Amino acid sequence: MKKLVSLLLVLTLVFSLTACGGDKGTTDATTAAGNDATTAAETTTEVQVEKPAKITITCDGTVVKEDDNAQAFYDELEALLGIDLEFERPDHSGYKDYIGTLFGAGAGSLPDVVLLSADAYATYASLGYLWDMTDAWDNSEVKNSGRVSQMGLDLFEGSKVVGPDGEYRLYGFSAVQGNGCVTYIKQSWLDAAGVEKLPTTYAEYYDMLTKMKEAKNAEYVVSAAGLVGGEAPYINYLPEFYQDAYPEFYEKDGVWVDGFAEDAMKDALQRLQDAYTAGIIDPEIVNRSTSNCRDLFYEDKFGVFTYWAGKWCNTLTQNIVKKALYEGSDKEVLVSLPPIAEVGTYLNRIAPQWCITVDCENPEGVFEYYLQKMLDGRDVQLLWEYGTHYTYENGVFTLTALESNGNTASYNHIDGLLKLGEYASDFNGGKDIGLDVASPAVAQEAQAVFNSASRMAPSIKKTDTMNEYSATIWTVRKSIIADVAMGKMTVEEGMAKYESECGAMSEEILDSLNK
Amino acid sequence: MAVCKACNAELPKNAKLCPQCGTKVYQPPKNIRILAIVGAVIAIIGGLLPFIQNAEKVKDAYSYMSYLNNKGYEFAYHQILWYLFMAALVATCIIVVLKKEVFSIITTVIAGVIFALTMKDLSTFLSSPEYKIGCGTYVVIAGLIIAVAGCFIDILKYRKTIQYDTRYLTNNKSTWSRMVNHKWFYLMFLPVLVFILIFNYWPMLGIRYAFTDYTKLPVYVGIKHFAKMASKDTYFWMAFRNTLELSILKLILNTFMAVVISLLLHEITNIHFKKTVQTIIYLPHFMSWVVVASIFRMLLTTSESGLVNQVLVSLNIIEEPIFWLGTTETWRPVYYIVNVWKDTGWGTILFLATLSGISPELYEAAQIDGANRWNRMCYITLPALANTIITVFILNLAKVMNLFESVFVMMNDAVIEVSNVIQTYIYTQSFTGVPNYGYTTAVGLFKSLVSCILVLGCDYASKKVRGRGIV
Amino acid sequence: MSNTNKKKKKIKAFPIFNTILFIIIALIIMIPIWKVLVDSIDAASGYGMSLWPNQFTLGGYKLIITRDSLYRPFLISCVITVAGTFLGLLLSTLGAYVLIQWEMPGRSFFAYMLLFTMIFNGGMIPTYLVIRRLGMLNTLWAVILPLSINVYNLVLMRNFFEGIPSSLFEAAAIDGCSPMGTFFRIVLPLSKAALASIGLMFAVTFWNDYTNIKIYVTKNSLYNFQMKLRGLIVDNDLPTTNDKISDNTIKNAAIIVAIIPFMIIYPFCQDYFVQGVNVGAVKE
Repeated sequence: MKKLVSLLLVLTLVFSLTACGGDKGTTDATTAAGNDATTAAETTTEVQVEKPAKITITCDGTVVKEDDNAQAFYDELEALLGIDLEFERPDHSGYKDYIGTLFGAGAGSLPDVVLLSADAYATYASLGYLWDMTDAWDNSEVKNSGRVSQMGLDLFEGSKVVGPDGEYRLYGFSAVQGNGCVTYIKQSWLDAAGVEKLPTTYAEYYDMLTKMKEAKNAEYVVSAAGLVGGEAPYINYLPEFYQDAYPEFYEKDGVWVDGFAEDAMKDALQRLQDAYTAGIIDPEIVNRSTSNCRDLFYEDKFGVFTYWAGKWCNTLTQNIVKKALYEGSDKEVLVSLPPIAEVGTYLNRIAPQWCITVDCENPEGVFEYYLQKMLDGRDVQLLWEYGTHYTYENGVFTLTALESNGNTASYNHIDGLLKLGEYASDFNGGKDIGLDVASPAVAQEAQAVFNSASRMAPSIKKTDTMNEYSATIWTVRKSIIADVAMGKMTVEEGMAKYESECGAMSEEILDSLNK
Repeated sequence: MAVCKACNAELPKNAKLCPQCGTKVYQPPKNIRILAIVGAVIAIIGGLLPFIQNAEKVKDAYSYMSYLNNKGYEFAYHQILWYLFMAALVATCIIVVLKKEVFSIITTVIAGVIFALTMKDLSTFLSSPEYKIGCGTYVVIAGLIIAVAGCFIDILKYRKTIQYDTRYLTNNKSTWSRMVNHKWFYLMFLPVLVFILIFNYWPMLGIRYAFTDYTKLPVYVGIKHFAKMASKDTYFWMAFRNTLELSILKLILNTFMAVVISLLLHEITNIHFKKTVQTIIYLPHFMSWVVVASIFRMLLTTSESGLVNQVLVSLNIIEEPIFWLGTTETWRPVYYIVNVWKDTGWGTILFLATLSGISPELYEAAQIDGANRWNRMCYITLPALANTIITVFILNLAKVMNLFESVFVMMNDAVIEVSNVIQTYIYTQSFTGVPNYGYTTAVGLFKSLVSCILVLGCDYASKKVRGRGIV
Repeated sequence: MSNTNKKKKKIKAFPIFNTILFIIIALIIMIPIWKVLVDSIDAASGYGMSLWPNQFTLGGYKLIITRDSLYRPFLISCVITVAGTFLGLLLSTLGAYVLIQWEMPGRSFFAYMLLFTMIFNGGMIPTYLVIRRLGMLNTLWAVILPLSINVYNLVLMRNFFEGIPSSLFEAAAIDGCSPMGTFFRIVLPLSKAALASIGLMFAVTFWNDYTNIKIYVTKNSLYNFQMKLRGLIVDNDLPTTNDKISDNTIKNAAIIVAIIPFMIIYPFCQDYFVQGVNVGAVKE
């Protein structure tokens, strides 16, 4: 009897559906209404945009940390914009899950503005949760002001993603570039290996690594957080070995291809294998996290590290000096390697995007009076860049120290090195506000190396088919990369395995992408 | 005239119990419940299959509701109809079990009527050659016929049931009077009931998403996700196998170690030493898996800072350092050891609490009888602990499919084949592609069914062996 | 543990062996914890293992005690844990007490109803919707209430209650004790070991909760310590300081702080494990 009861309970649970039947209908209706509103609104761009009285915003807790005097910043932002801002700021470590739940719960209760990572941005844009701001951006004051750098304009162009209608449109706004990784080489290792000229080709680069290994008698010379990254752009931690290979589907000359099945990938796998067996690459690389790598780098376990450009160069250098874990660490300098010939350019990822959701009643107003103000080239931009950490006296800006902290803040939320727009020419009476140099010289140099040779990471497109197979395909890919690199199978065996296990799925995905 | 089998006394007509000895003599005829239930279940399965099929778009074939939606039919109306249809069938099953056949036939007929209504609307599609009648329709009709037939047969049998002579009906108090006796207990259970209904059963309505594609709005797709799991997804089964192997072996090892440690701790006489040891061994439980993994990675590294490799090499047990976490053969043993390290001490808490309940007199008596330490452990301590061990074990079985964090923080690309479990597999899906909540729920439902089998199976075994289950 | 005179005649090898064994076990278990402990007081802690701190400092702990972004989460954790444990124990003792009423109609139904929630759950989003419907987003109730009904602990509690001799209940009933009276005067006092161990399990659940907080609570002022710890360890979300201590030192100090409350509470709980002997004494 009890068994039967329990069986019935299972059945009841599975099928006790009546109670919630109504729910779905209403959500459906709401969303439909939302879409209608969007289309209706698009046709009336000529009308003077109404200023919203209140905006609800969801962003993660690092958008001005509490420790950085967040409250003062937000108060001042409200005062400057003249809008009531209501922030939800879940902690950074749980932000991804929070966003998943928020959107999973459906439209109808989304905030007006939400900050999304590149992946989430592409996802929710394709599902039609986000407001298409292409027109708003094209007609915006900021875009036409001439203050946005060419790189900035390119980035806005590059962050267009596929919407529910299958067209590439702009659904997000970012005041900074996404940034990417640069290969840093320790000067001490260069000296030890007797390398005076930085390598410009892979042969020279590999030769340098070999010399370093010998000279330092090191276990390995290069390390990274895994052989392949967990999210786009996947290859950014080992660019010299991957070169032009890209292990995910990407658009090549207007046609989508499976990067993993291409010949470039075979060569990349071969390079990884050679370097791994030669002891160039960290034997435990599959086991490393980014913080592991940083710690090992500080301890001088290896000398060549590809990591984020700009301020991270400064942070790494400072930590090496501060921790002083090896001889000569106090004089250590990190040399930023311009991309070698085969790499060509480093990858610039899509920055986290500020998006307006379909639940926003006045998207034009929010764009006009909140988003584009981040690049207004005046007080609001200054606030986003430097928060409350500066004083202004007699036309001179001076950075103040962070709360109880000897370090000088180099930026608030918008990193000056990564910002896309300059200050207005008449701002501050045309005088240089003098804060652009707030970033340490080391960081500026590293950023310059990156900026001079970088391109946007391949754009992301999502389809149902892809979603269905992605877990399997990536499981196979990662396993093959690890097995080949660690010498458990040859490149041919690896490729054969991929073809036999994922060939059909890959075909199906390509069909859906090229449709 | 019937005769009681137990005492050979003559039985009065229509007696349920023997008036002499009280033995039950009358067995009510068993109705053929199975037939009606089988029919209803077949119809339910049919309800998950397409009623109208599109010959060209196989993928959409499951989803007659999305057609309705696209063609401008009232979405909610049909959905509610479908839900009512399924609910009526489920009600049939329940009512049949409760032996109210007359009502079950009503619900079955209601289901039939709803189905007919749906089909009437759907029949407009059949005018276009693009569509044909889906397999679901046939299955539903067959199921409904079987269910109705089953109910009828039951009713006929029920009519023939002997009327009881009420004087001999029962020697127990009636259910009602027992309920009145327990009225305070119902009141005491009320808060638990309220909590469980709100926080557990209410969200459970979400299980219905297992039959939908849920990326933005749930679109009903029948058993598509389950079909996918069963057919194409070889890596899903690999993950499933890994989950069971890792999780159950880990559970057995942890429980075994916890029992052994508790028994040995129980033998320690110095109270301060005992307390100190207990406190130390349970500390690892408070370190999050992220921290534990980073520490063990460091201890197990192949370079000279790797304590484990250094010790083993210097003792000549191994010749050169082993990459413990990056080799398929060694990953699992290491995983088990780390788990034992982390959770054994914590596991002892319940056992120690149980052991403290054993009367010292029992030990004294045993000692007088000349039982040695080993005997005392086998005949007093272990039996006293058995109940707790079994309960804890079965309760933990309910969690085996949820294995995630411990594996996630310790796995890496080189050992995917031995370490990929269902939850990590699902996690992989969430970083590329659009998260399909429907598929996640379907996998969750599948996991639940597996744990259900594990738990009820072990509970059944425990009932057979010990005479009672865990709840 | 009771009679020492007899033991002297027996072989003494076992107790000695046992003691040595546990010393070894304790040492093995301590090695990784030692690393955390040393790193938490070492201003220059790094990747490798060292036996003693190179540059002794208490800066990490000082930071946690003085920074309100670090000690406030600690206090929040304490509030959640105390309130949750109390409510959790109340619900599980009530439920467990009802579940041992074998004569009660509907008992099995209730039991299976509870057991089912262990196996089936609605998933993250439906649960979120329920919590939102109840208006508990951004309150600590969203953590305390759902976690306080824990079937696992309830069943274990029932398991302990089963050990109480039924003669006691009968005696109480004859003396005219109401079910409530029996519950408070007989069941609870006799179950101290159970209350202590299951209370501990509740406390740990609440203390370690991270998943609920991250979804339901978005206010910085309501974060608990585990949430903060996650931020520190996974995201390197470190408070800035002018003390010369490394990031690792702060992280490890936070890990130790998360353990300390239970290091203090546990020995007290152990006293109750011994007191549970009473149950046996009443038997027959």
